[in-house]
Amino acid sequence: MRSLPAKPAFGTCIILLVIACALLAPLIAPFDPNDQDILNSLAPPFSTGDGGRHWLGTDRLGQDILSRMIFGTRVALTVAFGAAAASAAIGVPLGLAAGFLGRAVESAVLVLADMILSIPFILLALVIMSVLGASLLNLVICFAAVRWAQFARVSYSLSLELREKDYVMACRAGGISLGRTLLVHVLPNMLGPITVILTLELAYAILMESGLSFLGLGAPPEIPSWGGMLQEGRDELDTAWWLTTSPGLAIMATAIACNFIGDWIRDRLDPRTQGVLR
Amino acid sequence: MSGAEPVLEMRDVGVELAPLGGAARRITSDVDLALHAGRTLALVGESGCGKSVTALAAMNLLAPPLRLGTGHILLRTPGAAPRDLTRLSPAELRAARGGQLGMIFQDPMTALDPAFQVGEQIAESLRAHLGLSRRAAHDRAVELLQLVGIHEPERRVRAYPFQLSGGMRQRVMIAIAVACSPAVLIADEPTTALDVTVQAQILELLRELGARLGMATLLITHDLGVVAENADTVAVMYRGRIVERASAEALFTAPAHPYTRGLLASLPPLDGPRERLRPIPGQVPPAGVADADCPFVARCPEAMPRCLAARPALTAIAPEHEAACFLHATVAA
Amino acid sequence: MNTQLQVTDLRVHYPIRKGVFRRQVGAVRAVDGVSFGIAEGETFGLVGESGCGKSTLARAILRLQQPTGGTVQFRHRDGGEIDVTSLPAPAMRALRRDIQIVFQDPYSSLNPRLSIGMTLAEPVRAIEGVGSRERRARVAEALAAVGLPMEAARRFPHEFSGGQRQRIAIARALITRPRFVVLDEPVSALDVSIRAQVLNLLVDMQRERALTYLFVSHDLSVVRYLCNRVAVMYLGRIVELGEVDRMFAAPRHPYTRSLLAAIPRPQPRKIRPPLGVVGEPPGPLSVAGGCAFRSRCPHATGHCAAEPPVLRDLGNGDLVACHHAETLPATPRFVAA
Repeated sequence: MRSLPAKPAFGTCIILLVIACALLAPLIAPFDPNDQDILNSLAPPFSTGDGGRHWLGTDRLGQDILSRMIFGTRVALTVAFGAAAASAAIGVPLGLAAGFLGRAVESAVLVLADMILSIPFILLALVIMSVLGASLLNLVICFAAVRWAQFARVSYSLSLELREKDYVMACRAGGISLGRTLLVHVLPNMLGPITVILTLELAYAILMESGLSFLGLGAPPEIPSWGGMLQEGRDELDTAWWLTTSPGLAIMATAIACNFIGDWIRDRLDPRTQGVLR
Repeated sequence: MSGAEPVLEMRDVGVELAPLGGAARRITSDVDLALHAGRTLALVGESGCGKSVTALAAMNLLAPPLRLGTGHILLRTPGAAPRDLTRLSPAELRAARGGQLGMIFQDPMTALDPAFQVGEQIAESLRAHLGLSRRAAHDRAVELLQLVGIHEPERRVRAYPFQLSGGMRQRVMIAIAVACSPAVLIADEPTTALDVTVQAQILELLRELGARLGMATLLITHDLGVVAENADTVAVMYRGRIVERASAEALFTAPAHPYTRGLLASLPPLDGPRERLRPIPGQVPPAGVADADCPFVARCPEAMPRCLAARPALTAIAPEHEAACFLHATVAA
Repeated sequence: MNTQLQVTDLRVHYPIRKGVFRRQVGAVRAVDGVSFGIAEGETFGLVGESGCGKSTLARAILRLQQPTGGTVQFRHRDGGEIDVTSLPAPAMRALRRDIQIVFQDPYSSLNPRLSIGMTLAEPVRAIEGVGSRERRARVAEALAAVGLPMEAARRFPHEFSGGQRQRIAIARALITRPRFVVLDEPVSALDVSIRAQVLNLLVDMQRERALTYLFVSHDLSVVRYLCNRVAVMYLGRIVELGEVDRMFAAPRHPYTRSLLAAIPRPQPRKIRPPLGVVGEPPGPLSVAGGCAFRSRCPHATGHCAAEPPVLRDLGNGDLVACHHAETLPATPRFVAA
């Protein structure tokens, strides 16, 4: 395999690191993330506490920040991957249906998607989460209920392009059923752009989960999450900078990493960047 | 071919494809062409043969990853010393293009700017190269539209490209190309995107303008019919090299290179008996040149052992007729 | 000889919609009342310039485009006739093995993600009662028939040149053993030397398999080479229909004449025939009453504006839609001797 350019290589490293943390959290975290050590509350980075060094310091309840960061990857990943996958699973079939099933389906899907996308996500999420209550599953449901529209829009416009391709026309001329045409001839040719949207949605979900946690509508308090940590640290911003810096950087780095990978996939799949002359 | 010195002369031109970070690859090699005032030279060949990059090279208009590897392009305009386009400064080159060199592209829809009225696009060139005032440039634009056969030029001068038909847009392109009365007109597949009745009208216009303005025309095409009806001399390209060069008359009545013969035998005749076509076997090769053997040897029905050992050079086989083939080397020797 | 396909008064109109409620305010008449028959084993040509409706007509016959009106009678294997335009969907899908199409662009007609073997097997899959063993056998046979090696089945479209891709597209059309094939500009995107190879292949296939072709093209030299009879279309209607040699020798409609005069011929000639046509086809929307060609016709009279000419027999079985067909001056010779 050829070596990756710098940006996607950086992105891949970050994502692999996040995944490793999520899988190995109990093994690598120096403390139990929910272990409170009130005597050691708001300890700065590198200070020593009961049973080890707090590399990134502690929060108001004396919980180890590094350990909470490491366990926080689990929320970030389950919500992000769950949200992106669920949105795609709803949005792509609807987009295909809009492109291939005639005018009524087309306008129904498009009008609904436009309506949803025209309302700010946070506003919709606030409503949904306050009705459903805070839990990881409800977070995923909330994302899927809104972000499917993005996938539907993209796969609809790809359908419009693909249904004019002669090989899709040839399927009709060959008496091949619509289901098989979509599954074998249309969907695989959409995967490239859809993958790109998927990585961008990953980044978006990580950001938005943090935002919701920050507003107290994300993950429940007993589950450490980056957004929740940001929210807790907000009040100590001028006295204990380390409460917010670490989760803030982690959110930023993960979001950027997803974007870098998405851009790279898009460039790789664009036939115009494959060769200079045909 | 005619006594006078050529207006534009390409000598030993070779174009290279140099992708970023990759090795340079030659696309054309040893291309010699001479354009004479009032005459049309057709450059004919199949896709990937290098005819379009040769047209760009003639204007020194190659853009990365394409670049001029070897050769000189001499422009001789009356009352001025011959100039080598490869040695001009960017400013001098800009003045030469549009001023002394005009170009027409295949697709007038993409070559015209959709956001400007056609009159403004013609006037732009006039003001840049001839220093005309806004007023004078506008009036001249109307005259030019009349010259290229557009009815009601006073009205059409304010039209946007999308308001015009394909043929009309190509006429506007021609008006822009000839606006500054260039000495050389380069037309790259000018009628390929057009319907046959419109093509006939545009070719008629090009013939007429070439004669009236005394332009030297380089016509790039894949259509041998267009060549026969419009060219005085013809150069046939294959895999980046000229394999045959002759007057149009000689090329069509006595084609010498097996490739030229193959192309002519591939055309379904429009009259006479309908015999089975005799196509050239094999596939059209990808862009690029090779030096070791004859470029056509893999598809040639008359290939000999020596065709694999060396590459035949372009040699005279008759007055005003050259071919790069060992079949004729013996005749000439 | 039996008629394989009979098209009667076929129409394809595209609605023009306006306003919030997308009310229909008019129609583009892409195909406007076209009738012709194609005999078994014949190659029938359909020529015209871009926008004349020839491709729409071809697709309407295959019902890739639903016609607005008219009928397409297809003669079935058992000799019975069925109307393609009103066939219910399952019956239509079953009929598709008998009616196939080859498209113009060899780059967009093959799924880039399927191997050639998969692409060829797709239409066979749609036929009931063909197992995977026979499917493989048919793929091998089809590749051999179009002159490609067996190992091509494992490769992907991007590994082939335009000419080879068009051979694959032809193999896909023939793999269901159809009786009737629509060829929609099958050689227009190919280089001259490759075009001749593919034309020869099409001729061979027809001879070996007793196929009936509808050949759609803008290239008259190719039409003359391949076709027995030809129909010339202008703005959605047939203006002349007849035996190909007779039409090329003595075209009767002014539009046919100008088409033939406009072809650049690969022989240097001193005398060019007058083109006999001015300007370009008007948009299909701007035709209102009378003869559609009159705006470009040097012979147009008041009669042409008042009344649209209908196709009529001039006595030898050839049809022309021109009020002045009998009185037009004799055709000029096209080639200087």
